[in-house]
Amino acid sequence: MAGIQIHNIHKSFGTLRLFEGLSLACPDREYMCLLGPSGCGKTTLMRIIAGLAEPESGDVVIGSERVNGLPPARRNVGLAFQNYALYPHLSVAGNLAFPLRAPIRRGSYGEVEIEDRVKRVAALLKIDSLLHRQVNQLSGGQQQRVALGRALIRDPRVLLLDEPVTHLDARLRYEMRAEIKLLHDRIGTTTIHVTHDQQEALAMGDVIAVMRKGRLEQLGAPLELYDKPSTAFVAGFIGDPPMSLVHARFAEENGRGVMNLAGALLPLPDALAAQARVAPSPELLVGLRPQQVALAEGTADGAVAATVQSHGMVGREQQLMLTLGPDEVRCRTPCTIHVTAGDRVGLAVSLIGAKLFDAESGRALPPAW
Amino acid sequence: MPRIEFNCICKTYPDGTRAVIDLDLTVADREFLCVLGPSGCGKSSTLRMLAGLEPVTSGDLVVDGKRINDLPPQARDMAMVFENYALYPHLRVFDNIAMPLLARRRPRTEIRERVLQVAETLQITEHLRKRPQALSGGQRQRVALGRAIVRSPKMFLMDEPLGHLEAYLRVQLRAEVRRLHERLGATTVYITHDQEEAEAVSDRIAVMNGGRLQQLGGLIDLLDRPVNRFVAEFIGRLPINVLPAFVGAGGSLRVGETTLPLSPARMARLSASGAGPVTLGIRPEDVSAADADGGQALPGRVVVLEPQGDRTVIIAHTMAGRVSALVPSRLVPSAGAAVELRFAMDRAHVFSADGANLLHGLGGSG
Amino acid sequence: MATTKEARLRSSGNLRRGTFAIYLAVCLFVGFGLFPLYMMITTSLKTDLQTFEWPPVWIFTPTFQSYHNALFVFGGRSADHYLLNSIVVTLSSSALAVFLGAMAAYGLARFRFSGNRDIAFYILSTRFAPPVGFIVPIYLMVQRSGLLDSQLALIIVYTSMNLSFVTWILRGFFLEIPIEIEEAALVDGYTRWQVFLRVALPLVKPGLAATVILSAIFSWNEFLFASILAPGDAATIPVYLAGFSASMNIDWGEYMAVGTMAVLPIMIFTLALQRHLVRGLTFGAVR
Repeated sequence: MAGIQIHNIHKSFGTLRLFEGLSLACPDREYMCLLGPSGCGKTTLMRIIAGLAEPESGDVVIGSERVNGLPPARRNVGLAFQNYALYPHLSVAGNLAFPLRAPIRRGSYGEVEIEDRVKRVAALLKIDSLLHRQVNQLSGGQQQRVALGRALIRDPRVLLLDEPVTHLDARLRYEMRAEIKLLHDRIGTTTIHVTHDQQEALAMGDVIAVMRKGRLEQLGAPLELYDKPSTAFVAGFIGDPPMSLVHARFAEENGRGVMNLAGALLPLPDALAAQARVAPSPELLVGLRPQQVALAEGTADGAVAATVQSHGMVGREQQLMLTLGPDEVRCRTPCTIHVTAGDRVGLAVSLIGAKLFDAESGRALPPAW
Repeated sequence: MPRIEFNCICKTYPDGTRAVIDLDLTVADREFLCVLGPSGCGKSSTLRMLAGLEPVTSGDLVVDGKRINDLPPQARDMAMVFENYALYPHLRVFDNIAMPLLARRRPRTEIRERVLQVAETLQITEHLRKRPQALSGGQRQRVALGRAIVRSPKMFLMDEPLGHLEAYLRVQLRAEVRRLHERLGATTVYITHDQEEAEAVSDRIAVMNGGRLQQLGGLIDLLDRPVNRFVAEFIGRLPINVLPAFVGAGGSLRVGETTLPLSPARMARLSASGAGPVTLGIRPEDVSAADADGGQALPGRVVVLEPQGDRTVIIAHTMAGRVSALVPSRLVPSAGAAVELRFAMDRAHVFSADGANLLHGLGGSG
Repeated sequence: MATTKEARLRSSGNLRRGTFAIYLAVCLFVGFGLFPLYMMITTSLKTDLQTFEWPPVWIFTPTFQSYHNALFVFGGRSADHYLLNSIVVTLSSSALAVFLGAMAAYGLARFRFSGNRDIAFYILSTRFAPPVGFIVPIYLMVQRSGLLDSQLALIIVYTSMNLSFVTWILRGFFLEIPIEIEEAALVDGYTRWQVFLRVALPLVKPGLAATVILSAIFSWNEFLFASILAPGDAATIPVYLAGFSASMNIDWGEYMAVGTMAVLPIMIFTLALQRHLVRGLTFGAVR
């Protein structure tokens, strides 16, 4: 088992500069999720760790060994590809045994040991009854397990998973998530799991690295990212539902802090006001959870005017998407309330527990003390 | 805006496959109906019969009181959106959208105005001069939607239109589909296998399996009053817990070593169906995990924690198998801890061996 | 939707009417094509007397006299020598062309370097010009190197001619292999070369079979270059066959016997390998 350290790497694709001094560390035995929208660089980073791509500068360290320039074969990593990439001309057993038969390892594994390992890994992943099947006869879920088995069979020091459950249907996805987690608990290999699905990352990662356009937005435990997002992007990406971000302007009124939200003046709790006072600019983004937004009764004072964009069910509640000026706001209401797209409504917004971000940079305002 | 009726519709393919069996379904005027089910359940065949792309083997297909079984597709005044966009690759986006109007020989000025309007609605005005291959998946699907709505049809038929798109795009586009439906007031029939999608866009959901309609109703109906195990397992964001259980004398219910508390009405119902092995279905939202307290709780040990934000799913090993519970994040026990799982029995379902919901009709609070 | 989709496809291809007529037409067409072959083989097994019978003799006792004569009795070199030439030249040039072509194709398919596309197209373009156009320069090159009338000359020329389309075809096959499969092998511990041998080559078996068969057919049947570069000792069967019709009276039995021997090996070769042309190795393995 080994930790991974990325120091200050640079990587460009033609004129596109992806990584400019990216650094990241994953401690030994940790399960880290690389999370971000497509194009953020998460897959490229994984390939750099595997050795399928090289950075132009910077260090890639696995364990205590600098691996820049080492071919993938010598890095002792296991990689489970997004579309499985199983060897079509081999059976399941053949696929699992293939890594052990590599000439680089000749002499390390005798036939008996190879067979033994194949059986053990197959039992671990519950595919022992499939060992003699051809891979194109397997279902998606079964192929996924074979891909995992192939990655694990050499006891790699690092396991790389590229969107392992994205292509499975809903029920299977939940099952595989729990199984992968349990597998990790058992074996303890340092794991990097790449995904664009924040629900998956939250559920599976010990630690999550949120990436965007080649930069690391935030690194932390799932609930830390949820409760204390360090940028507006993270706030708007993590969580189900994520925070709604609304432009607002901070002002002082009678010695108390207020936020001007699309014309409505809302009182700001003292702690947040203290943050806002020392902020570089009064133009802020307010991060709101759906619990903080409700449909106002009639035209109550301080209600914020918004227009309904769409509505749909989420579990037993109804979720409304509303536009507030240039921003979108999410609100949850009981399904007894009926609205249609285009309706103008008033929102009662509570700023207790809201998060404040600088509108320009997106960075969260630091705590006031 | 039409009301669509499927009256005892059957579809059997020439090789003998019975794709749709005795379907009785009514889609109300201006309703958004989702037909939901796994692959092979007959939902696509149903839609294709409605579109006129497949002949109806038996039964009556009625739209606004008129039987349309023998009406060719072009005479049915409906627009269809396919999973693989089906755009004309040799035409520009503008021409793709204009196609249905061109086919009906509308005047040029009218076509131009309409296409611009549609492009504006779907935010694809900047792409009008491009060809489909220059667009991303999400943009292409918008073009397909544009082509569908440009004629202001009375009916929309959509066959898994968002299947190929990335998760966040699906979320965005389905809100748009719903918006379009409301703005145009058309009756929409939407096929999907993704229950999250169905719950986000539809007024009612028709769940199908093996060619048969399992249940028709709003989301709450399906969640709280599933008619059988299939529907209970298919609907719901988090997979429902299914545990082997035993009905004893007098209608008592036992899971593992724990006897679960039941209301008298429920016990009467269970006792009427006889003692024997059954399956208990309970949603993770209805399972609570508190510390040991005595009383009728199922003991277990936490093995996996899956944070979701405000709440966390905990998966525990019990005598009866794995159980998931949804608990507030601040009350989460640590991994490996022993917990007592309590079920909100007024929301629990009990399924017989053939899958029927024995407690149907006594469903939980709505 | 798997089963119902299949059902849909099957139902649309139904042709009850006209099936018999179509079968009849196909039989006639095939019969027309195969008749010369049938004639050749039966004539080779008849005596001279039987050959000239009218009405033709359909049922007779076959005799291998013609084969015996052609192979062992005729003056000068008998057919077996030229048969051997053909076999040696064909096998060598096909094997070499496929071996070199596979490596070239893999390089063109997988490695990124400037001019990749251009080189690939250039290789294909060498087949555009009719060979007659460069027979003279090639003759001069062969003669100056002292290789005139040798098997080696033919092997070299045929290999280079086959190489272009072998490379082009195999390049297409290699491009179809999803690159992730090879990357998986790299991560599993294999070097590029080992990946080529153990993963890429097995997956293009249909391509290898096709190109070997095509190369062999070309080399075996080639006449122009053979007649000019190897007119004597190293002549191949087509050249030898041509010699038959030059004489005043044609020994039909022996002519047909040599013809049969010219055709049979390549037919057997093709039939033996054609099952490897079946695709489907990569179907479904990478979603």
